[in-house]
Amino acid sequence: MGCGRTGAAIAGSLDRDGHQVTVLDLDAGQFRRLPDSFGGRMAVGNGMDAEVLERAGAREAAAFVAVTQGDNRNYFASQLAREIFGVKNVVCRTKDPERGEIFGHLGLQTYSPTSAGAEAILAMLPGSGPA
Amino acid sequence: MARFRSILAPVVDDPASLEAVAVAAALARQEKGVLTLLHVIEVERSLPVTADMDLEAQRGEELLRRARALAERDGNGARIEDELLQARVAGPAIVEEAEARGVDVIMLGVGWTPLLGQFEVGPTAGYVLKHASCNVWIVREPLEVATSAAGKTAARR
Amino acid sequence: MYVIIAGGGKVGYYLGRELLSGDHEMLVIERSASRAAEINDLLEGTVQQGDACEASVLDGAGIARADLVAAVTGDDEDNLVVCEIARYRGVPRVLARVNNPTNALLFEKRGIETTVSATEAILSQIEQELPVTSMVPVMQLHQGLELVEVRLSETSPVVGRTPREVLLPPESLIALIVDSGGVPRVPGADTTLTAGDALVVVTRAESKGMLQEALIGGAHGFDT
Repeated sequence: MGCGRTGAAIAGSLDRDGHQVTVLDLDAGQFRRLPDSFGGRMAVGNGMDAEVLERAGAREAAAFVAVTQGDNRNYFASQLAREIFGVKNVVCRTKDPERGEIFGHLGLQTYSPTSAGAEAILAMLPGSGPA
Repeated sequence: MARFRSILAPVVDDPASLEAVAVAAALARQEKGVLTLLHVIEVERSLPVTADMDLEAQRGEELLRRARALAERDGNGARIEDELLQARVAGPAIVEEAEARGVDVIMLGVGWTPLLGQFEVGPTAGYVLKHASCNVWIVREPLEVATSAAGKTAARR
Repeated sequence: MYVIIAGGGKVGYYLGRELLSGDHEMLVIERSASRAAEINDLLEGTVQQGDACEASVLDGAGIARADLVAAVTGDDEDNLVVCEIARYRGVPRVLARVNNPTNALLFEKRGIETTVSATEAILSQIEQELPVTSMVPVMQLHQGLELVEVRLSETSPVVGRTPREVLLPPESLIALIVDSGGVPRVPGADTTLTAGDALVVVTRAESKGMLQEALIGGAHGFDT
């Protein structure tokens, strides 16, 4: 859910590896980010809508990844996938690390690009550890 | 001119506020009235409004003592009362206290510090000016004094 | 009792105003700075500007000592997240306004109590009486239409009449009647309006003054 740069990259990679992938976005224009070779399904719709998720195949899905720009939208859709459709493996991107930590305690796997980015940059700065 | 028998002067720790106390005291003397000195402790939301704020209360008492000494000097013969209150925000507490005491005028000192590059009266004075049903007098020190380093502490009042 | 209201839109403002008159402590958290300033002035300084979906904002607002958190923004995902964080922080009661009824299922799965009529539900939770004559905003519909709830008092000019006899503003309609026992009915030709009934009415935003006059009479009890 969410065909931005991250979503498109994840979808492209999974598709290349032979998985069955459906990409969901509110804006069909976003699908241009997918590689030309992409063989999965593209669905236009709001992932916060249970009907849209069902039509996209949420009931049969082994994994659900929410990577829209909105932390709360990602959370809402992720819990729909988990609670309503019983998806086992749910990943919710959360930019706000504090919120992400709490979501992690509420049954989701979360990833915070903010914390991860900060850590990666710090690792590139020699001697950035304790002075 | 209306009579100003009962005056409320909110007190904070800055020169403009003490200047307002002096003006209020002079007025109280002339009117043979009552001057109430009020200090409001703003309690952050994470604590109950009735929380023990020992340090702030101690500071508030000290501030009121200083203000009272000043008021007694300039208000020779006027009745001086003081009150320490805890509230979330000062503005509504001042307006409420003014209503409860039925005062004729609120005497407020304002500092001179630009907020976001522009001069504005702070949130407390703004609220009181907008909502108090009685008279409100604003006291500002001369520009040179108000904008000097000493006057900066009056920011945001 | 300490009540935190997330969202200072029409519903949050109305709720805040009702709570202000009671014995409870109340705080409204509103994201938009201009809206927060606007209603802070009307709600005697009980509004804090900030994003209630951020745990640090809720912590600063004293969530640890809150007895009830009501999330009443216009976005269901935000309301869900506010309630989840509040509950995670140990708030004993959380309540969400649901804007899109199909979303209610997820809230239910997550064990979060929901309502479409936040004002009444929340006031009843804290055992505060609704004002005798009241017109409560419930939901924004499409194209300028709104859903409001009107509680009929004994002085209402429509008591004793049938819905058909009531002259309503254009494009307004009584959609549902809930009697004082909580039984809902669809208005029919033989329905008599009774004091204590709650009417759920669809109307246009600009017609609310007329609607109030028709159902409540006089010009009191409502402003937005």
